[in-house]
Amino acid sequence: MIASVIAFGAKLIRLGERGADIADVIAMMFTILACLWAVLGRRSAGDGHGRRLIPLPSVPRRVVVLLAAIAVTSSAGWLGRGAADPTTTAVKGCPAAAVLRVLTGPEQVRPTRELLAAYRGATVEHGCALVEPFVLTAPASEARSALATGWTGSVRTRFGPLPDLWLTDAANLAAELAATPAERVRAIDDIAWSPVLMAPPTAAIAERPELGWYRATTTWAELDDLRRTEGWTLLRASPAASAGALAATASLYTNGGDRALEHAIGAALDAAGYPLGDETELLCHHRRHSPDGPVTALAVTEQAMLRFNRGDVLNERCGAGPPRAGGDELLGLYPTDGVAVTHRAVRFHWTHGRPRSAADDFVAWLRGPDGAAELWNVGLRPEHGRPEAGNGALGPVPRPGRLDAAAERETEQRYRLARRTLRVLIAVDASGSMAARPGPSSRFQLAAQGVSRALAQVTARDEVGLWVFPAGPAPYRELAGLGRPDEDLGGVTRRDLAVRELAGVTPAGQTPLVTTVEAGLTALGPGDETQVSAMVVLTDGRATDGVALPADRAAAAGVRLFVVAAGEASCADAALRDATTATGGVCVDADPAGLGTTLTTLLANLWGEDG
Amino acid sequence: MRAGLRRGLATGLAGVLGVIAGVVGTTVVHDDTRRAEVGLPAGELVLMSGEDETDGGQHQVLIDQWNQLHPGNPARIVSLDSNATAARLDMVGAVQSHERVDVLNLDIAAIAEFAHHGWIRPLDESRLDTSGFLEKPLASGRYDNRLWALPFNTDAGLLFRRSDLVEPARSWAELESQVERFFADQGRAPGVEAGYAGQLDEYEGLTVNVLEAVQDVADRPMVQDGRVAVTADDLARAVDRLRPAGPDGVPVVLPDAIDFDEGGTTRAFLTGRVLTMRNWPIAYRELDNAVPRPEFEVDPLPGGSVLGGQSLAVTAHSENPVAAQALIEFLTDSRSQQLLFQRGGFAPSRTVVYHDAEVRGLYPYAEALLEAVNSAQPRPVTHCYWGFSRELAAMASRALTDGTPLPDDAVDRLDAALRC
Repeated sequence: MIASVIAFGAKLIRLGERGADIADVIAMMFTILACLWAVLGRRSAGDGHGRRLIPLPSVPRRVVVLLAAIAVTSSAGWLGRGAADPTTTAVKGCPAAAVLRVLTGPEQVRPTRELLAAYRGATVEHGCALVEPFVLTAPASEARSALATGWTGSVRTRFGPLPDLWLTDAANLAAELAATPAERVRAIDDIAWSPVLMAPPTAAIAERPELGWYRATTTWAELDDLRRTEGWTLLRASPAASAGALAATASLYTNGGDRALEHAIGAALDAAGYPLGDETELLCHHRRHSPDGPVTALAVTEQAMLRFNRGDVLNERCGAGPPRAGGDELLGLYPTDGVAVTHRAVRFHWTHGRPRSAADDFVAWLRGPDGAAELWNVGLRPEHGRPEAGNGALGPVPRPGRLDAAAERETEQRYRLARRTLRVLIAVDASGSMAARPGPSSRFQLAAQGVSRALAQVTARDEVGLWVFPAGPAPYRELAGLGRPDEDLGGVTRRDLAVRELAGVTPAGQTPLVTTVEAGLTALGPGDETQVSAMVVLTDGRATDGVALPADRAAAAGVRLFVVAAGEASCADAALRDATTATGGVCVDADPAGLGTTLTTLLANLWGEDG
Repeated sequence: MRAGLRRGLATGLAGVLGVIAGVVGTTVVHDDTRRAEVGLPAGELVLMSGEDETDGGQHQVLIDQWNQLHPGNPARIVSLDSNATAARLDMVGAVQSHERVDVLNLDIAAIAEFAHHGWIRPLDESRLDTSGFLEKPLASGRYDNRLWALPFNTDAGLLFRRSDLVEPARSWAELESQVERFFADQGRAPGVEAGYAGQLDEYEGLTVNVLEAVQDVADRPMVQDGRVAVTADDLARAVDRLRPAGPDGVPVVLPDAIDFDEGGTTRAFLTGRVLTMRNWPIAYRELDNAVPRPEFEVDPLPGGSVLGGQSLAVTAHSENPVAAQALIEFLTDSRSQQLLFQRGGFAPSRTVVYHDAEVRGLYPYAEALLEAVNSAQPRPVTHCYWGFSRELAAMASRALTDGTPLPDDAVDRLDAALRC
């Protein structure tokens, strides 16, 4: 009865807010009837056969029970947080699902989608899902900056909806965000972890039983010795793009010899055309083009290894593949002095109402047994829950520590000093279409702003040059020749000269893309063990001087080709996609308004800096 | 009979009013004077909208004009993702989370959902003069006998055609014949890979493409009175039409189109890969400004389009609904509509703009567009639309990508989705 009275009050408030419909009225009538019979028709006391308070007609007990049941069930929808009840659902359909906007990094998009699909399924009541999840993505460092400013300005058009939750493997950035004075963070929880390991093909160990002890009782230094002794080629993703790769780098540096190690990894990546990207990109290429010859071992997270072995979808550009088997699958060697990547859930003060409840429920689910099982399914070890062995993974292993912020900064610094130097030529489209204005600024101005920000990040060790195309009747023009960014060029540094010259360019004419790229490849020359050669082209149009970029020619040049495509240009064009992929580069689509920031991010990843 | 008479009278009256509104409206368009509405309760207004893709950011231009005229009610735009699905979800999150927002620029397919759940409030019709709006875009703002939103811009699918390579097609069969003839003589344009590209990636665009194909195949809208009104065979034939051809077939549909949104389709057309494309009017400016400009013309879509567009609504939790409605009236008046079309390429929701001589000079396809909008079928008006759309897009995408038939229970599943 108390429930009916509360429900009745809740209904009155609710009806006052939004107006009644038939279902509300029916439910309310049943509630009132149940209350009346319960209160007025109650027998006085004692043995239950006393006088009624009001002489209401006698009603069979089963009818009263039925009325009460209908009243209670019809009330549940109003009392719960959007919960579906059969009566309301049958008459009115499902209640509106609570939106849950989840931000995550590019490496975790697919696992996060899988987790949210499982969670959404778990919320289904009477055929109604109570949550409508949405996944948006941003690199961790950019996410941290955007979240610190409240996800305002152009962030929402660039990355997507205001997030209710940030699932991140950048645990230190999450902590940094929580410590910012603006107090954006409401709660922060450790959800799961993934140890970093070395993963050769199973056959490399299975055929050598004496190596079996390396699986769980060794150190990184011993693994490194093993790798050298056995002549394994080592691969690792870019520490600038992957939390797992950064953690792996810290471990790999324990033996010293940072520069030699980076040069060896760089040469191995170049030799087989691996991209300089995150773990999903590394393993995607590995799945498609496993190199012949020496054994290749990968320094990756356990999650990446598991998903690779199972043939899971790795990222949006890398669909499912056949599961690895027959000795070809990777086998995790777990160092005892290793580190783990910690996955955190961050909730925000700006989320209110039902999205807030949904975010809280989702985190609680992740920390419960059902969530733990799903975390394991996506390749992560839940903070609470018993892991299983299989697919190259060991069962329970001691939880390694994680890199703290200081160690992470030190590793980043050591990586920047150790990595191969970069020789980068930036070529900016200055054709007539770049004068188009997606907003207050033209595409060309946005591109120029991006170049300017990117040039500010070039380290003194690297070389950079800047071209535009076209330049009047000529196909391209050199605004700043290749060289050190701080070199004095007659009272002005190369960096400043490039920015100044770019500001003076007026977009006009056609798009001699092929001529420019071919000339750029020649000017750069091939990279080697100590240097990466890269050409970064920003264009909004299709080439007007040739049918297609010659992928073979680009691949043979030993230069990684990167393209930022906007407007009429698109990475859906096979020519751009093939030419960039063939060189171990990448083609990135950008909104016209996001041209500059996309370029900055791409170059920052190359330079190993935060975007 | 009596109902038919009433409808006839109503249509006639609407026609007369439309003509009158057109005449009056023309005066408004060319008389570039605007006055601030006085007596609005003061306070900032927040407009939430998908990313403005007009050249020069015409949404902001209009807001700047409003702000000059209404210093007591400065407005600002919160720009969202340009993807309709992401933008709708962000708006749902905003209202559920009580984010500070007064006006939503809703996809017209979302109006019923927002009204049903009480996230927007009905407009005060006693203050509104809705004459001069195109009938169907205006009607798309009605739900449950109340007006919830005014059309900011309307949309109808159009067929963009390489006029140097193919003739206009009045039906899908005619288009297929033309493509067949074209590829019988491929030497005419060696770069062309297929006859047609639409939006076949798995998102709202695919739903629209399938709805259009179904209404052509079945000769009636796919959904009527809240139920799926076509047979499983109609649905299968519509999806079959969108399938890329096999290696031996005539390449009517470009295989890559299964990954295309509007931008991808435009680029395929621009790069000469297809003879025709289905796209929204906004694509015209990009094609027209392209260097080199392809030779193209714009025709109504064979079989007709479904209605698209965005409409402006006041949030239920707005603290200043009166000023918010005034902002909506400002953004949808004839002057604003002309500016959005003339400078931004957005199809206007007011009749008068289509008849403006200057506009017709800039956009020779204005008449075809008006015809397309007037004959477009509304998308299903139900608060369950987005669930239905997700289901339809998912099953069609799977069929197109894997080359498999639709599931046997496709119609039942869509029916269930319509009842959410």
